[in-house]
Amino acid sequence: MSASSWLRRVPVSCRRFMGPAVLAGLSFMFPTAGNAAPVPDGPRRVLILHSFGQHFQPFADVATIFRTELAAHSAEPIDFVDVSLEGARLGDGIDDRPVGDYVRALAAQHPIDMVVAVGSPAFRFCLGYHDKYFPGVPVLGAGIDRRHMDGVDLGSHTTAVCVDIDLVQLLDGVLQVLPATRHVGVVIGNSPIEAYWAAELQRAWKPYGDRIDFDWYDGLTLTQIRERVAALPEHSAVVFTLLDVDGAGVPYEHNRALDAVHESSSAPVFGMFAPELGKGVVGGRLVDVQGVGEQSATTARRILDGESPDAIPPLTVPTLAPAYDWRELKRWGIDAALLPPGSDVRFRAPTALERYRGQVLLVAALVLIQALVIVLYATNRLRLKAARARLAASERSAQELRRELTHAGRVSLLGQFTASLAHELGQPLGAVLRNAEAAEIFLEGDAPDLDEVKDILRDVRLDGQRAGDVITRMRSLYGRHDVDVQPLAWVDVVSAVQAIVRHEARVRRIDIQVDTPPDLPAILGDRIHLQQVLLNLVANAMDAIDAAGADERLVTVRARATGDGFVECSVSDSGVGIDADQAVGIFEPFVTTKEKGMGMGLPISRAIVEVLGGRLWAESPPDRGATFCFTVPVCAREEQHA
Amino acid sequence: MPEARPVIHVVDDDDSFRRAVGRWLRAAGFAVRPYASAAEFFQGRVAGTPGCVLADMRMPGMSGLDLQAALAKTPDPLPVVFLSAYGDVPTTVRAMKHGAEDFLTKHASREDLLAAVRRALERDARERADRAHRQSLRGRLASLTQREREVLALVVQGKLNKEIAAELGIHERTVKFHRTAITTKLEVQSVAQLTRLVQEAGILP
Repeated sequence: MSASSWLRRVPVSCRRFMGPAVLAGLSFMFPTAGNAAPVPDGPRRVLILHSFGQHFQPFADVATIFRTELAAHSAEPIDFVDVSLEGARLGDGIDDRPVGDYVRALAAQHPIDMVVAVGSPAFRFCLGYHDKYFPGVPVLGAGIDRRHMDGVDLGSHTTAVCVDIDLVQLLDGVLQVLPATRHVGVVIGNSPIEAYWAAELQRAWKPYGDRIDFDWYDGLTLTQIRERVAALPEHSAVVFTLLDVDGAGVPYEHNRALDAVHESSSAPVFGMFAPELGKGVVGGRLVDVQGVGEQSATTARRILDGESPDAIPPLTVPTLAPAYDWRELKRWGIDAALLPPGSDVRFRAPTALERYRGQVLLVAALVLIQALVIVLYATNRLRLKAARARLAASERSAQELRRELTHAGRVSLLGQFTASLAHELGQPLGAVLRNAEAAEIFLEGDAPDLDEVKDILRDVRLDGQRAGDVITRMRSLYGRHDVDVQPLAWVDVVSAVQAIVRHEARVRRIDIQVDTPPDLPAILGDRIHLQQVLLNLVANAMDAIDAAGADERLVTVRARATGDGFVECSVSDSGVGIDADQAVGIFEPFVTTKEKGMGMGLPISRAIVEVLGGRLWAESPPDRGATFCFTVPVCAREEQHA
Repeated sequence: MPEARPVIHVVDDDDSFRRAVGRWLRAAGFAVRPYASAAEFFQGRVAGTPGCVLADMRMPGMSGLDLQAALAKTPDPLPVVFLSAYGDVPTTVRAMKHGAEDFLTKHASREDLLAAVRRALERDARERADRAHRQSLRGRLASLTQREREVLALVVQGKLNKEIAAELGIHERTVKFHRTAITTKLEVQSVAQLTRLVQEAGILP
């Protein structure tokens, strides 16, 4: 049975009475613990082993809260003995073992009841040298990051109060309130323990490398760090981690480094530890330093009351709920809506409204009533204006288009180009609609931008024209029409037909190639009727390609001067061609090879061409698609000029 | 520069419609970026900014469907709402099959279009949060210490604390401590959840 587990069984009421005997027993079992007889009812002696001097953050806060809390919750007096290691601060292979010798010598004169190691370096020292320098004395680690529990095997005499410093959460917290952040300056010192944290930070933040440029300040002096944080670009943040010793080896106690960085920084500063809130950091989920100190005191009390550390599992003090400094949020213009739900916003200054509520409400009510009267009057006028503008816009477009569409729908060939037509009209119609709605919203606003509304009306007019042109083209093609022979450029006929079939061809993935020689003479004919003939031939060619299902999907429209007073136009397809049997009948009415065809297209086309003084015929070379040709007379005057 | 406010990207080769729908969206309170082609969109967009795409179906160069397919392959995709001057059934079906948020004609009613944009933004916010959560979990997995990884590897093999302690040569109490740290860190409640998470992230051999 160990001394400590024996102690645990002693009722507390008897323990103080038995104190000297117990301590005598301890000194008997562990001679190094000291031979001097303890003074009856003397103070309990707690050795605080600092990792890093007594005044460096966040360790100093943990130690201060711990001793205050333990003293407050102890009936008997407590004698705190402060001893500090320096290896973690000074580096250079400083040997802390003489500190151990000193503790041993101290304990020999004044027995120690427990050792509290503040921070990981001190905790590791205890684990390594416990048996040598203070055997049998219970050890409590206070504020040990869980990373340092790695590879640690807790013996029966040791327990710990841990923290979980979540570096990923730290950065996520920054990005949550500043989602546009592209640069992060990382303030970190240069001592061995700070170098350890710098490596951990780089490891944890590596996945963010593609989003964020990190600027690492380890190795810089505080003056250099101040210059760097003062010159950060837009969309930056500063994360202040630990700065106890800078790159020049200068130590910074208390919060001097944070104050300096906060004063110089051109970007919001974020920290890790709760006591930093109110000292210049924006906030977030911070390490509960107060909780660590209090929990350490509670655990120490249990150990002093005789519980064995073996029976007290190491526990982790959770990170605090998110808390923010209102002044910093305001200073950096951080939207409160971005804060995580349940955030605690502190240091809020009372607003003018909160201070002068009554007066403000009264004045506001008066202003509101006055404004309402003005607005009612003004909006009436604006509504009238808006209504007129809307009426003009829609009259020119939607109603007209719809009426014309219905009319055009009656024409039979149109059926094949419904999709094309709908597309050509849908584009401007959609734009007119969206523009009219936008204008409506603008005019309903408090201060409508009339220039913007003017621009909208101009666009509506242009789209109305555009749609009107489509309609005119269709109408002229399919409306009643007397033959009107005029000199024409062939290219005008082709481009009008191209405009009609373009969309249809895109949808059916058919390539339409037009080959018009630039020196082609002007022709003499009826524009509308020639367009109809060409459209009919191109539509047939596209159907032939679909029927063939071939890989090559090409319609070629060629034109050439024959030299004897005609222009010959041909439409070739990459379809299956025409059988000799079929070739005879295709120009007869009601003869068709298509499921849905009427068989009227080619007879009408041939009639048109013949009226104009030309011929229309089919050619079908073996193993190739069909070619339809027709001739149109050349304009005689043009021929004379040539 | 990524922004917090969602941006509606309008991709349409028709100048007049692009201007009109841009005005309309701004009037409805949205931030808008116009592009005349899919290529312009891929050059101009700022990854990381929430939003959605309103794209025309037929454009020279990359079509709307091509844009949708290419966008889906980027690490920061956005929902696509298709606008077509005239929608034919086969194209609509194809677009919806490939995950289009909606397919509307350019003269669709104001309410329909507004609802489609809102749905797309909601979907983007949802998917963005999911992606951020996954990235964060990956970060967390990466931040486990060496010893925690060792313990995790044995836990997902179904080993008991006692067995893990024996294997690693440490006290069972220490194993328990590491386990608590791992489950807290990875926000899981059970070994089953832990195993699934580890498999999804693929961090252990």
